[in-house]
Amino acid sequence: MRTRREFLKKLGFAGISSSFFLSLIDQIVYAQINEALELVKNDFKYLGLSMPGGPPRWFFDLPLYQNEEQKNSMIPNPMVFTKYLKNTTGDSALKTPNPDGVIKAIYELKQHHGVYLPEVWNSSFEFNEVKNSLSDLAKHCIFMRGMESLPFHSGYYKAFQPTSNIPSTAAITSIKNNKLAISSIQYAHHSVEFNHPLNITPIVFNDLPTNFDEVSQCATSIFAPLIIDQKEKDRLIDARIKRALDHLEKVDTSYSKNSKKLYQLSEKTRELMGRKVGNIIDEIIEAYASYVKVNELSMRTELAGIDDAPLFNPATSSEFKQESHQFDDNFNEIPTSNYFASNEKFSRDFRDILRSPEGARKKFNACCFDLCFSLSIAEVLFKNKITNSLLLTAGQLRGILNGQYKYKLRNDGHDIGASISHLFYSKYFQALGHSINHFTQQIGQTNFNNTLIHLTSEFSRSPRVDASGSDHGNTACTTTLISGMIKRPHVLGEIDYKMTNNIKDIYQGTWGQSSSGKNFSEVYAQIEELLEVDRKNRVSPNPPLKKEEL
Amino acid sequence: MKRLKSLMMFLILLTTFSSNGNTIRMADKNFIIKQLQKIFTDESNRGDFKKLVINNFEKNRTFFAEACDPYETLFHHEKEVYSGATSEYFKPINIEKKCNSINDLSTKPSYTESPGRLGVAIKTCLELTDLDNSYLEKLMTKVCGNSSCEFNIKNSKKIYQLFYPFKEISNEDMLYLHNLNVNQTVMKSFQGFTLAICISPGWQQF
Repeated sequence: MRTRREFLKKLGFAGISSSFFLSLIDQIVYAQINEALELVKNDFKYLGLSMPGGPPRWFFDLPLYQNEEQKNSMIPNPMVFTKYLKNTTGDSALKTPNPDGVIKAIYELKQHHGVYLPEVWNSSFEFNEVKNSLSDLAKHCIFMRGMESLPFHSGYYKAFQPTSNIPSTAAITSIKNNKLAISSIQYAHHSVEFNHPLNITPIVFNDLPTNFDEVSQCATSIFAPLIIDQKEKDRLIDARIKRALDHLEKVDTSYSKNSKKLYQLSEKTRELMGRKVGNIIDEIIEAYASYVKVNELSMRTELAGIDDAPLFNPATSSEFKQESHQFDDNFNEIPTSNYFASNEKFSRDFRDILRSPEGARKKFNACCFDLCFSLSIAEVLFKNKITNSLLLTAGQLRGILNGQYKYKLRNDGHDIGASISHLFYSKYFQALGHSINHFTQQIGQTNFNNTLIHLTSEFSRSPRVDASGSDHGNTACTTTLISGMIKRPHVLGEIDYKMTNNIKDIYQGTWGQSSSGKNFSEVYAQIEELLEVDRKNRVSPNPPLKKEEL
Repeated sequence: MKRLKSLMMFLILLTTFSSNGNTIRMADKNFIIKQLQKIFTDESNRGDFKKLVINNFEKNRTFFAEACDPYETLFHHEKEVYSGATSEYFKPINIEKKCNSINDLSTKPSYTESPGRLGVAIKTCLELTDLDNSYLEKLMTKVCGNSSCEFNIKNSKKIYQLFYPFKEISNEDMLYLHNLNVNQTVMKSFQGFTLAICISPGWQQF
């Protein structure tokens, strides 16, 4: 009897003790998560922009160097160039064949705020009497190059997530600010694992507009479950409902402490449904219109060494080899160089897409609708404090209008011909830069100082020096960080341009180069630094730049 | 012995109060649908309820973050015009194809909370308690045996227990909730009371 009593006592004691220790362990783990939640300022914002399929290297994604020595050590690569030589200038070039019949492509960077960048960073124009200068944007950029073994691929949804078991960068920002209605919003087509430590799922949407008319429909789709009519709104914001729910929260909380959080989330949801959603959609449509104008204007802004090349002249265009091909079924194929050579009328029309005056935009036009949509969502939701964390797409150049024909230039376009590809991707990146710059102006300086824009793509591998192209993958990845807290441009990277000069090596260091000595884990270190992640909770052990270095 | 008791008491208290209350586990989509169906429908309005489920839950199924269920039947609302007349019907969707195309959140656990998910439930509750629909009358029939139902504390408590079958509520709490909805027509009283209970997220939580 005594033995059984003792056994039961011991069993009870062991049960309670183990329960206590489990709880204690849980608390320790939870405390660590809580510390991790103290990661960012309350008002900090994160905008991740993915370039799915990744355009070829150009602009944000080009190899950059920091000094003349690096420049002189670079190995010429036929896949990458910034401008054409031996062209003539202006419209006369389009009418008269180049007398030499040869156009040379070169790679040239110019010093810009202390680093070397492509000439396109000098691009500027005025929009609504405000100067939109890429030079201003460049000052706030950290260009990261040649990050070997970064697990970047939007298809693998790893682009914005440092490692498994660690919150995604979007989650890092959204965790702490529990005053916001929505923890995060992301575009789902190229899915990103959200990995929120509190298991809070974001709002995910799937559709992107392919023309101006569809934007309202797509904006509505994001908030579909939160849209109710006026009669329902009146019922939802009735004071008696609020008092009843406050009381029910007390009742439920007596059963489970977790209920409090759930009721708080429910209250934010009701506020959003009752008062804001309709206005937000209207604001998104208005902002979208402004991004479309900036984007179209960027497309029409001339790029020296590119726009003025006689590429579309039938006499010279066949100099450029065409590549192979695959396009979306809904869009016609962009003609190849050879097609241009055989059809002068068509080539002139096509050229007019980017060179026709503003008034002809209904017939000839180019615009990156996806990007405009993403930035308009980000602007409106940040301004309204609906969320502080977004993972969206930088999109593809879908909106190419040539008279009655509609074209899409896929980022991963292999087969449109080198000259066409070069022209359109140059324009794409110029428009991307101006659109992001417009975004930073629209959210205002204070917001920009507390915002990190994270532009990246899986298409970042070093172009192969054997001219066979470059692919998706995780060698020599790139990322660009843009924030008001960055005061001058930086070029960081780890592949030593001197190390891999072996011509047999298809990934020669030169093209992923930057000899800053910063290795890939400092991509994360830098992001964590900018997000003010507590040092002991960081993924990367490497030191990032010091604040005074920014 | 006394020391051991004190220690055990201390440990029990510590364990009780140290609960961090971090994890919220939501009921899955099917539980919520079944629960609402049980409360607001009978055979006569089951068809309308099905449409409501498709419009609210199925079209927003990703907010419930559940893994794709290949055995589930999904319908697509379509209109067909023939001989000058329009016919509306639900066309079954190839669920296997649909499952393969779902790439967002399909691997997330089904118990995570989000504003989208709560929004779907709130929107559904607003429609279910709309006086233009018959759902509220069905609820009153379940509470009183017929739709001519008196709005009193007893009936209010029955409604509460339809949503929270395993939770007791004190008379004081019930009196407070009931009194918020008096001094108006019976239907309006039932409507206000039921809406508050329906959109309270507690019953959707495990």
